[in-house]
Amino acid sequence: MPSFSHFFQILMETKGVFFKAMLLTLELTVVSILLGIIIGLVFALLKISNIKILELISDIYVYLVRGTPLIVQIFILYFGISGIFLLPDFWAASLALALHNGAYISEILRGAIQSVDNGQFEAGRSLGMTKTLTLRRIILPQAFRRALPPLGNQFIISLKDSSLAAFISMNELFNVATTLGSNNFDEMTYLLIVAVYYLLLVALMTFVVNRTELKLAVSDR
Amino acid sequence: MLLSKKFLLVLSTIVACMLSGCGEKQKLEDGSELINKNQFVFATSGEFKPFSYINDDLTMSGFDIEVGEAIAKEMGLEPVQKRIKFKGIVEGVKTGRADAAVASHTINPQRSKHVSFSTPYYYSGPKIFTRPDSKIRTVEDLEGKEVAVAKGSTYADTASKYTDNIKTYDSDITALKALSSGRHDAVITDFVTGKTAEKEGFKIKGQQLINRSEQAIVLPQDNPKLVKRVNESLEQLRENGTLTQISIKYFGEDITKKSE
Amino acid sequence: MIKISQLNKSFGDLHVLKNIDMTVYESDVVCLIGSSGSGKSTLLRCLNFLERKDNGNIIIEGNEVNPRTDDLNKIREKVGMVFQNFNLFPHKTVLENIIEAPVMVKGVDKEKAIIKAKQLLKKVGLEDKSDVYPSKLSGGQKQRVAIARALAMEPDIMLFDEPTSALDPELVGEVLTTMKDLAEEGMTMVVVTHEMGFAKEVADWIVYMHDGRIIERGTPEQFFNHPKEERTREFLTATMLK
Repeated sequence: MPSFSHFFQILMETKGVFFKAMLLTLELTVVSILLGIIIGLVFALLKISNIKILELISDIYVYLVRGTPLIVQIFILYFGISGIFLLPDFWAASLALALHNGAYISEILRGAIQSVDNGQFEAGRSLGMTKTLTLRRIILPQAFRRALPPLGNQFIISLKDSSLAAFISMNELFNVATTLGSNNFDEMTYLLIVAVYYLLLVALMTFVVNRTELKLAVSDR
Repeated sequence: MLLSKKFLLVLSTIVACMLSGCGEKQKLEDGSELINKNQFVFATSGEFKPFSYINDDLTMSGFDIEVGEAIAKEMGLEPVQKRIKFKGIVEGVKTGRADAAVASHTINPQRSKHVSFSTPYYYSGPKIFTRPDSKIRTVEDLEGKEVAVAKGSTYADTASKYTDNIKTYDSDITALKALSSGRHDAVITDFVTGKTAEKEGFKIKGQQLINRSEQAIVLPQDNPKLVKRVNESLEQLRENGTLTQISIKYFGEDITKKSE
Repeated sequence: MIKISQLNKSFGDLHVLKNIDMTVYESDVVCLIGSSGSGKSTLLRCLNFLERKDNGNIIIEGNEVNPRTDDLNKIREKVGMVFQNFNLFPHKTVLENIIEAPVMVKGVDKEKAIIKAKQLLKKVGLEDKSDVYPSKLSGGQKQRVAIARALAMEPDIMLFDEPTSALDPELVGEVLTTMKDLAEEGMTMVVVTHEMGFAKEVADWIVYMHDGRIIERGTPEQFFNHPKEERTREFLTATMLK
């Protein structure tokens, strides 16, 4: 175990390198969450569409993505399909992460949408609003509010999942930690340092999610 | 109350045993230390064909493996392969996860600060590899280009002398594979490794041989007697031609002797 | 204005509406009464197609409605509904609740919609609550907002599905008063209710349903004082209204 002074010294020395890596980690996470929400919403809507074939498509997608490890999915998009199509590393990683998140988010959103009282839907329809309009203006806003806590959780999971991008040579936090660690024959110190950066990011994210929850809860008590 | 106290005691004893069990080596009469008295546990990556690679039955083969096994036999010990990712081998030997490493490590001053090296068991050198259509020829052409290397290798240091744009993978083979499939501009790795990959169909071409290097066995610094034993065994293997034999088997030439 | 003939509806094996014939004329206030399970709510919800009939005809303003080909949304613009559980949109203020449909569905200019909304709020006695969220309102206030919201679409007919059943007794009165005012203005109303006092006072027609059928129909005077059917008499006795 490194001494605290050694740990602190290296922490200060490597500020620049890790900060850059942290930005990349954040970039990967944010892009994959935003895309993931879009993908998740699409598949959630398919699932509640009441059209059998669409529901089946959604089920297959969720099963495939939840049923295989994320690292396998990343490798497929980076190495595997490179015979057909060369995806730049950032997009291979974020796409894999987005698709992966999307499956879990679709379940979160589906649950949230279905938890909105059916009376809300009926009220919208009784006023002459189409299904789409009711969904968009009445149901989804309420569903998103309810989905925030589990979405926030998924956000954090996605942040940690971004570390797998290290295996396709992206210089995000985990890769930088292991590279510097092996260069200096001091893996432990650098792993501890990177843990600190992850904790920082998680704290930041938790704060943002909580603030958003509070702001949106203005309409409820 | 009693039950939980007892449980804690048992638990802490187990944990203490587990913790102490790590890193405790057995001392032999000649003063050298090994993890197990009758075994020579040597580490290698399994990701550096033809020096080390993994078979379908998950055992490892390759030049490094055979050298490791020959040395063990020469010392009268049972050879035990241990697979460690290349980037973690030096530290692995340092902390006692293996007795030594036969993993094509280039002797260099940085590493020498942390571990000891045997006498060189082969001579080679880093080479630039590119895709066949590339215009890169020498290290000067690497400026500003994207170079992929294996983590923890001397190639990473070499690359950083000529470009800032470095991508790291855990294995050289993965780096070469990525290069072959169209990613990155160049890979720096051992010229033998690259040559082998090319022969196996990777779409790559060798360019400048950057310099010559000496590869040796990695040993712990606090175990000079073991270093002595290993060097003696190596010398034996050189004299009786075993080392040359292994080299010719894998490369068709003798890379274990310094070239003129 | 609305004519229903031979309407049937089943939920699975349960035959809930059996050959219903009913006509509602303009400015009529019709009260549907009966015990739970009689099918009165289902019948009401068939009128704005929230429930789909199995067979039979529903003729609105002389045109038979074919749920499969006609634009039900357009029809629903003209048929307002007030629910037992209010169903106000919790994430919108009272004002936003009321202007939502006119702006989004009919494309009314937002400013105009707001003016109309405030007029409606005044009418139901809640003009000072326009920027409040539904969660801060009492049940009676919520229901009055719901009525204003339905009225904002300028419907030809208003449907009320047990509008006061979920309210504390003290709050029932304010809602019934609002409904009474509406009736006096000439709005066509179909009301499913247990409030017999309201029915007696405001309704033009009482329709009594039992077990999926219309048992008896009459003016309040006829219905409460001279019921024709045995079943009706039993009902009135049981509810101690005779």
